[in-house]
Amino acid sequence: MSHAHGTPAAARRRTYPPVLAEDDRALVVTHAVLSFEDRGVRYVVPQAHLEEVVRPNAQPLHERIEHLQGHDLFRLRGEMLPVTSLAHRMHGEPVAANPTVEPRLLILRTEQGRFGLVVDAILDHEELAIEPLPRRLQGLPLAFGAAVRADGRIAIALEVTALAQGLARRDAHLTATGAPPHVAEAPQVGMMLVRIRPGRLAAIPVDEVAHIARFASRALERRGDLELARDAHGVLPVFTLAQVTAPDDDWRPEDPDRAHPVLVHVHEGRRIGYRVEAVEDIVRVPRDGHGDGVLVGGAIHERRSLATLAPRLLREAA
Amino acid sequence: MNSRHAWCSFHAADARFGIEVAHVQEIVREAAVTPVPLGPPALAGLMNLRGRIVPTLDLRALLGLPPTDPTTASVHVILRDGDELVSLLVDRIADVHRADDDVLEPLPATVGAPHTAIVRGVRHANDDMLLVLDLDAVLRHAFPQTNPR
Repeated sequence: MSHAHGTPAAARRRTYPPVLAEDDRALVVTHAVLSFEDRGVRYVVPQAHLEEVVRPNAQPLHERIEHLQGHDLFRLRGEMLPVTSLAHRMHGEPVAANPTVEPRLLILRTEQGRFGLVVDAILDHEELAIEPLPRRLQGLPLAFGAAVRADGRIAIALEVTALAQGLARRDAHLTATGAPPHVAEAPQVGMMLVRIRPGRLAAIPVDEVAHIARFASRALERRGDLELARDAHGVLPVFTLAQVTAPDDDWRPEDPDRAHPVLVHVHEGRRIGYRVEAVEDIVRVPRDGHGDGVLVGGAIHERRSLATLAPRLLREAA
Repeated sequence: MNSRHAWCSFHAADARFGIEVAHVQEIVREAAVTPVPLGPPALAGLMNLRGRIVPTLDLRALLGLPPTDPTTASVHVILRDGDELVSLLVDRIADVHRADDDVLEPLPATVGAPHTAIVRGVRHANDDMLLVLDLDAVLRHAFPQTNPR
């Protein structure tokens, strides 16, 4: 008989918004998620848990993972974080052992702390309707739901809190066993790394992005110099971020049929869309560090604020 | 032909199985299956049936055999499970077996678990033997932790 689904323990595990009213199977809510692939299977984690995506630089990820008292650890800006992988959790395989890929490391946060999840490839930041698992499967430890992606394939929504269970607790014993104590953290802010056009990366505060839509140029209506998108919430003025941040930059998407991400920002109740070439990563950086830039993986990217741009552009749109 | 009873029949691991047609919603060929981490052993994964997410059981795995090779062609028998659906992955579909009676013979004594746990009984058709599955038993066997309601 079931003892997992519907129990107070199961309800407590869920730390993000109301995907699953436990007894209401009709409730389907779209969620901002990061989708990724591991061993050919697609998964999603709620953006609310995601701090950043680490790409291995010159040194392969598996060489950067250290082992201490049976735990796998990754040194991130001086802090030792426990790391795991789905293959490790499911089959006991070594973390980052897949030689056929250049893995990425998702840094995820739960109430118990931060940890890293090694995955084969990042797919997208997207909005997906996550459904509860079919009744017979509710209560599984690592999955809380599933989503049908636009290509018809199913992605498994992972229970991030459960993934973290059993991992080394940084503050529990690592410092006591000679591992370096973690660096006192400066106030940090989540930044979305976007390619605003080929060759230009910018960091934008995650808090300024209400959600990410996707539109092809051909789907936009033109009113004079203005481009407008229509969606379920009404009309959205769309500006090309490359142009509004550098007036001489006339970059526009080459292929009018290819959908590009549009970062939707809400300013005093009004929506404004910023078209970019691609969304690359979410990272956490010091709130006030590096002047006008953001240091990620040794490179400095320009720091931009959608909120600062919004009043002028909304006046133009009006 | 107005036989009073009918079983949808299919093959898995060199045996022929049947299930009452009243349980069967449809047959689907070549649908992708997405595995679920730490799911029960007989669960092949989830399939997308016209936007509906349906758990898929592997009949081979239910019988204690190595699971169906995901690269080989296989068939989904979509079964009604209350107001939900469950897919049963089989090697290939066969005909509908019809009869005026629904009398089942007991399984031969040489057949052991897990067949005995999920097969309700046997029907003989010509020289062929049809192992009639008990859907409730299949679901209990596949999902031992879940609430059957």
